[in-house]
Amino acid sequence: MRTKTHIVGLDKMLNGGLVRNRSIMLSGPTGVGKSILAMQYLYNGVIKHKEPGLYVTLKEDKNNIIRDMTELGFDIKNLETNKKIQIIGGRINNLKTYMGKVNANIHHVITEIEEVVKENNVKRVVIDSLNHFVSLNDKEDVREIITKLCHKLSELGCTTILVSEKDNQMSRISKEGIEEFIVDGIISIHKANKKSGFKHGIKINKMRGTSHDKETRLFEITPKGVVVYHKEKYFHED
Amino acid sequence: MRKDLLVLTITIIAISLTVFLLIPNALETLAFSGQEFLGGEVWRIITFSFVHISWTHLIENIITLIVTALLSYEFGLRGKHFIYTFVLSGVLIALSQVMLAPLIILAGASLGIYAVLGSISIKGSTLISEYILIPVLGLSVFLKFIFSLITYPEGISMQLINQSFLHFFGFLSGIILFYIFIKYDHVRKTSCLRKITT
Repeated sequence: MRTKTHIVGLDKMLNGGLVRNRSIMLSGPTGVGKSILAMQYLYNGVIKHKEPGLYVTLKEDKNNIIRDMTELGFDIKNLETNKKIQIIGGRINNLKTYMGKVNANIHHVITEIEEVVKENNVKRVVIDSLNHFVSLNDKEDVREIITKLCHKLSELGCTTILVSEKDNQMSRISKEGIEEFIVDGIISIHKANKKSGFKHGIKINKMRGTSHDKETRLFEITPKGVVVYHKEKYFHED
Repeated sequence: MRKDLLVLTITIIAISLTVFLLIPNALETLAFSGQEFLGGEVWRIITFSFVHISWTHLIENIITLIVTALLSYEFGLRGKHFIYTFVLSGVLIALSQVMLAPLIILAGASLGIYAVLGSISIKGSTLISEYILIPVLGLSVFLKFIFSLITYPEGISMQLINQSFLHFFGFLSGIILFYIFIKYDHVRKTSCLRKITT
């Protein structure tokens, strides 16, 4: 069973879409369009499949996200008002302060996500970002926390995108270096360079349960959202 | 003992002693009676917990309070739960008293203390099974009655029976309040993301 992203070119690379009920890490440096791609995945889910979505933001305010997406032509405001897409969270510092005030921990945050998913029969989830989410944990093993989050969402029938930030220079896919072993799939985005005609690159590093395109393809943020050119190769600049 | 529990226990003892020593007509002005309460003397719903009718009554409650505070510490009951339970159970029982028996006068900290014991019986179930803890702590509510029954059955008065039942309702209200606090706490802790959403 597949969950189509309906992002031009990406479903072709994935041989039809993301594998349903799985957690996929979307990794890349800042400013390459990870959050746009993730929100577009939720938007298309509602518009094309009537699948409610949940966007957990830990770095931006809801209003900023809505404004940015509206500029790209995605009427998130309307979907948010009708509870087709729920956007919850805000800046990580505000969350940490509030959690400290009520003595909450990362497990309470996972429970809250679970509750929102159940209440709204959510099928598509985005956590933006996994790095910020992990930073809420101060006691336990990061591996256990991510595993718990992924398992819970999978049990609830959600196909999840975990946005992960990394430096452009980092040889690893993720910041902690362990996330890639836990998630079911990894899509990484590479920053634009001269050789690639100043277009970003997108690659599927891992995808359990399906065959996929092994090449790095060109990826661009256009005025109408992100587009993947699944026939064009991206060239790394050495 | 944890600082918050220590401060609360000392405060309750200090207020009770002050009221007993410095306000000679406290029973008439601060104890709870449904009639007076409905007549506008609303402060009585809080103040009755600090009024004691004799030295025996006061010392008995101080000893029970200290034991309860120690148990609260041992079983990890938080200071805020301790004081909310102590005050709210008194308010709840006094209000029900207004409807059921407006002529009965309430005085003393025992309702609040037994309510805290009720909360401990649930909170402590992580360490000792609730099947043991609830009956054991619940039995302490009727200790005075049982002791009188064994030693001097003729001396059992209606007042003692009423008192035992009130203590039992205090214990019960503590259990109920604890579940309400747990639910409230859970809701607060699992709504952080939604609370900060702007």
